[in-house]
Amino acid sequence: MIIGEGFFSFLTGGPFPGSYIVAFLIGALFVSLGIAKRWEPLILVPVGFCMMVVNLFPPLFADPTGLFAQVFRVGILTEVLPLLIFIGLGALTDFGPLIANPKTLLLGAAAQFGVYFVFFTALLVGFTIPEAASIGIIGGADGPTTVYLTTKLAPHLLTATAPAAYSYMALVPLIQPPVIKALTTKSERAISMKPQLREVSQREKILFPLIATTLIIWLVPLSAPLVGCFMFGNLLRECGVTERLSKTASEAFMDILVILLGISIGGSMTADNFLRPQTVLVFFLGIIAFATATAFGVVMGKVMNLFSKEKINPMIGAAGVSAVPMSARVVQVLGQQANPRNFLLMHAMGPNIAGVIGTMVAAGMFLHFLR
Amino acid sequence: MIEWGYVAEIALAGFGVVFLVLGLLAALLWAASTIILKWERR
Repeated sequence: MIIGEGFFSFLTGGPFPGSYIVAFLIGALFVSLGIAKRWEPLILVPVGFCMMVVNLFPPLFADPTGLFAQVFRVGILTEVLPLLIFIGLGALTDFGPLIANPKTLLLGAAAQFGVYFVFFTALLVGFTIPEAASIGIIGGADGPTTVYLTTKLAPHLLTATAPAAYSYMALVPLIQPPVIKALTTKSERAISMKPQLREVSQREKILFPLIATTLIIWLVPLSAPLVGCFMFGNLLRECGVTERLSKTASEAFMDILVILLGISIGGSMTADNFLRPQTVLVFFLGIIAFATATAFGVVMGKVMNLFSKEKINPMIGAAGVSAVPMSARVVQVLGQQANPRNFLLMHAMGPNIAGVIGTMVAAGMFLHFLR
Repeated sequence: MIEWGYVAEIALAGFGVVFLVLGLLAALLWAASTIILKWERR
């Protein structure tokens, strides 16, 4: 009987699917936040919709030959999807602001403090070391890195860490401002920086992915898959002779991968996979990771401001959490509120992109110790 | 039972290496840009 196999099976004597209803509603919430609030719609809409579908008929994910299980196995468990997404992200990234102001790399490094703070906190609340590393990396605010590291270290936590990372990236405009305001005075937020960064030549932009790849993989070999894919995508963008590949990588290819990522993550979020006390804890720790990463980035900005010849607005340190470009936009908005002549966006893009690189290195170091 | 010494090693080495790598990259970038800019101006 058709009605006895799915969501309404309780009508024919099956267990009441209370948890599936809750998971279905959370999926609907993701969809509505994506559409109405435009919070990370490219990921939350597919994830939310697939979550609704799979909780209406949970055997969909349990069937190993079904779409959800197949995409999850091929895309996530083999680590292919998050890595390929980095090619697209690389092709979308302009390293110009970072090359023009290399010291902002230190702000991206400082913001990784959130990763290690939550790594400790997660251990204190009872997670194992590999689980704690997978939760801590949420503080890097980098969805694909979180998916990649969790798949390697604690795949059973993927249905918690992946949505936590992506939903908090969407919530950056709500999470970061109170932390930044608590740590800075209005006069600090009003510090204006040079309106223009120096122009970066194409030669510099071509050399950057080559130099960065060599240095980072030489020092942290296990970050090679992440760094290699990211910098490969960027080289396609900057070298000037692979425009077709760059365009495909940053548009159609990326869109296909994001749809597959949405299907694989959302399709695996059945109530029994997702609605667990662990998930609540992961979401709670994720927000702490974001907040401490923001805080430490700002503190580093203050320290650099003390020692720098040119004034540095400490808020740009908050953009060291990689959520590109939302955290840079948050800094821009707060800067303009404090001083309407302040244009911090390009200055904040440097630490923002540095944060992506910092999170990859942090992930590589976790793998070095824990794989 | 968590070995806190090992945990501290992971965290300190990890955070330290993040700073080391990004600091070295910043220094390399600065040096490379200085050379390239001088060369391009000539």
